Amino acid sequence: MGRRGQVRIVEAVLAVSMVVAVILLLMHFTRPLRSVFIRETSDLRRLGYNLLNNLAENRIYERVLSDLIYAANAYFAQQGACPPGGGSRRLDDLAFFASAILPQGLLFRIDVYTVHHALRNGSAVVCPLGYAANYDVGRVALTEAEPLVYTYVCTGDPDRVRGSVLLIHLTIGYSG
Amino acid sequence: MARAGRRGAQMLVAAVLAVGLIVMMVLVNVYEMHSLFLRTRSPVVREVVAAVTADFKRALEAMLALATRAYFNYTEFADFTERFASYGMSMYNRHNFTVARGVALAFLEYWRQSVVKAYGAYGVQVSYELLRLDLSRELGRPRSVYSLMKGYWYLPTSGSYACAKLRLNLTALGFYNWESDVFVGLTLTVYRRPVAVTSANTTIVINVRQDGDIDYSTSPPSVRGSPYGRLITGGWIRVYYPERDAQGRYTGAWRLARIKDVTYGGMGNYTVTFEPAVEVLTDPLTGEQYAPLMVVVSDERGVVVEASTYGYLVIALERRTPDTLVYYDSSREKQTLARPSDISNEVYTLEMGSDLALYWLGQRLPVDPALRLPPFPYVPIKQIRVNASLDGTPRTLVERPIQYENWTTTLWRPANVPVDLPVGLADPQLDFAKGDRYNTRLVFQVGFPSASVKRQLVALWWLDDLDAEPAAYPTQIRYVRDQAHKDVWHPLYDVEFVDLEHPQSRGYANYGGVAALVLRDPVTDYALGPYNLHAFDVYGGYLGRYRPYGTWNVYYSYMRYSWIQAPIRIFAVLNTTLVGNVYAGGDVRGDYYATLAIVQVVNGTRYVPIITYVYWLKSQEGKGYWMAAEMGRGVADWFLYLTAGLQAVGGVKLQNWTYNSPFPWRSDPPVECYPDPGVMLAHWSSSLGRALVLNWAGVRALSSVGGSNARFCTTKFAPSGERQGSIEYAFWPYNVEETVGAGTLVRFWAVIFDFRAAGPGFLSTSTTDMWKNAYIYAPMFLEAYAPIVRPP
Repeated sequence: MGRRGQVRIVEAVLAVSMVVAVILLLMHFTRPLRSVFIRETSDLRRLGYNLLNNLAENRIYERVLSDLIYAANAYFAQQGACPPGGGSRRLDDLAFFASAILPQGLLFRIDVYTVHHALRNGSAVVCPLGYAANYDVGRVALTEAEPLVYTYVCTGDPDRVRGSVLLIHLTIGYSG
Repeated sequence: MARAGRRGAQMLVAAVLAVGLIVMMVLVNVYEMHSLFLRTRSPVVREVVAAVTADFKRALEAMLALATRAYFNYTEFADFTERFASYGMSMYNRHNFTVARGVALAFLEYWRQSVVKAYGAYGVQVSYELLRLDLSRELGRPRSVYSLMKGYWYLPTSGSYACAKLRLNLTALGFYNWESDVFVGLTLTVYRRPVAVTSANTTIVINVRQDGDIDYSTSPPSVRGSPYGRLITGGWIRVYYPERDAQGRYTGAWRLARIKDVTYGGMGNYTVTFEPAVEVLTDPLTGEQYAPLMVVVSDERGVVVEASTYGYLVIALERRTPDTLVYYDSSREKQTLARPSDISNEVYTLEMGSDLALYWLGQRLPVDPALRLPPFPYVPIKQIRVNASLDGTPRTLVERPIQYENWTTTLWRPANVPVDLPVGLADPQLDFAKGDRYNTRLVFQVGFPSASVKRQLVALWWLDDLDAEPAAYPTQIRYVRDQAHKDVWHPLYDVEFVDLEHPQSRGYANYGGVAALVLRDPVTDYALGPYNLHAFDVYGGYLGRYRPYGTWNVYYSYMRYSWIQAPIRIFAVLNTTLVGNVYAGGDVRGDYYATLAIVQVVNGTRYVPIITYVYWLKSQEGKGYWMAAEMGRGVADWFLYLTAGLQAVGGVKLQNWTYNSPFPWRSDPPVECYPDPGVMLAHWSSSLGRALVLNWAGVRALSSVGGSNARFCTTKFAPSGERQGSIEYAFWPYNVEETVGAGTLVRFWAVIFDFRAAGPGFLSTSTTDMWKNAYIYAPMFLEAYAPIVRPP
């Protein structure tokens, strides 16, 4: 009886060990990110949001995009639709400021949209204003890139854009 | 057995240890996984929360900028403000913080939807709730910000504020219940006394604070602004100083100062030097010195604050009515009449224009040159209030009703003479600003309850709360308009305006389009007979053929605040070039005279002033020409008139001589007339008395147009044969035919005064002497006794 009980204890230990081993094996295989990738992701996000916040705090969006924002607002107010050609417009001034803030070696693309509120039906309409990038978006592919989203209510001068709402998509990463 | 049991126990301990180790290993591994999860998630959470919170603050800033810029100067910032017109932030609503708040809430809702969509991958849920934060420490007076945003302007420390609590969940990241109190503010303190005034420049110090920290140790939480140091680089400042005329008197207008230097001294303090040199005044209540200035600042976010170095204007109003009056009785004996100590019916209904002029009965009041009265800041009319003293001392200054009216100085076309004309009650949301032609007038009453009070203090002040509504005061006057009524009800008399719209006086005559006002008993609605503005010629045996013909415009409620009735007076204006015949419908002519009449029905008083302009378009000849006449409908038993002293009566020129009056009702002769009518006529019974007080311009006009034919007349019977008993000022009576020349202009005011035999403010008199209770108040309606405005 006593020996049989000991065997059962050994069996139980072995069983627990096997379950744990299986769990660990599964955890090993289901681990979502490699450590290097985790670090890169966190850093890129921080960098990206730092960039967007820096541009916001210095009211760069109003300074460099005011004419386009004003024109888009006016067009939407008159036509009730987005102005044509916004998606392919390069925002080089914005790219210049962003390049000055970001460290060397990083690539970015900032897509800027104006958000218009259609008071009649309560919907929000997003119109592309253009994009800023420090690489040739048609040729170069980003690797380990991190997409970020940001909303921005213009509060700085000039008055003609104050109160406008922007939606900003930033993709930041490395050249593939 | 014992050995085997010991070995088994060892096995059990070893197994428990092994299992424990394995479980601990699993726990460590799970912990590692969790921390890994946190490490990968936290940057996203932190950044998204920070980004959304910062954008919420920006949205609040933009809306506060919109509200304050629109409030300060909608058109100047139209690039911004007009883009929100579709939300409701229109020019019409520029001084309506409630509308601005509604716009902000709508905008925040759209912003919320945008954020939810933009950050949809994180499962963002955003909401906000309105906060209340105490601003007492910030503003130095008990104030708080609530309902999203508030503005407290036009005082030396002023501010614009917004606050809300942001709530945020990031459901996809397992992050819940984030709360953040967001506060946006801009505070401006202008130190009242300038630090230097040279011959050309003035230097003042201001302090600007932006946003600030929330102190949760108080309830509600309080805020104290942080020094703002970017005014020069990111914001702007404007200084306005009051304009003065060549004599150095303030005109009521403001001018933009030329800023020569702004120096930042740290901690939000700026020294501002500007042209020109500004006069330093003394606050009449505190004795502090101050330069009358308005200072406006804006930060880089567009939030505006407007401050004034003073919060009230104080004047003293000195009555000049005699306490002992003189008259000559029918025996030509000089008599004196002492007023009672209670003269509570001496209540002046004054107007103060945005040009700083004060008016009584349309007459500009004399002002002591020593009075230094700076203008009102650019404050919306709805925020202006008035206090008046009870006994002339500052401690009895209590708030009194105030009314806002629009007046214009315009050329009265028929005569091409400038006239001050009311054009309605004001839009309370407009600035109380001096205009070239249109001016708003503040109307308020100052009473002298006893003969011992010669001076009363009046303090005009303004509320700092931009949400302030125009004050609605209880009033006893009311405009009633329906098929049977075009009336202004007053406790002492109901004034029925008959005209083209309302020709039929209830229970009385049909006036066929002739404009007049019928006084009625307020209890029984019995018509006491009309006051006829003017009349010319006879129609067969009937007197007063051609009378002003047209429609009264009655002004009784504010623009946009239609539920607030005029608290002090309702006025009716008649402006016509036509005359009509009450005795024959269709007998309407445009070749006689034009009439402009302004009638006021005044709350809390016993008088109805009627300011009248008459201009003759063509020369006309006629029998009888009446300046003004009040019918009696048989109510009066006694009659009195006072002489003007301009024409000899019985070879004597004597002023305020009762001649052969008072005399009782008598049926014969049917029309009784006496020469040289002066400032007062009266008719009364034992229960009711009414007087007509005519100003000296009118008395002189009677004499200048009518010459020796000027008469006081009373007509005994109406055309229907009923007893009449009128009192009439006539240029010439019905039995004299004269010509009045084209271009003749007559301007005067007459005041209908209600008096009794006894009661508050009256002497106790016999029925025969009742007229004395009108006479003791008559001087207040005469030019020479108008009150004078003095320094407090």
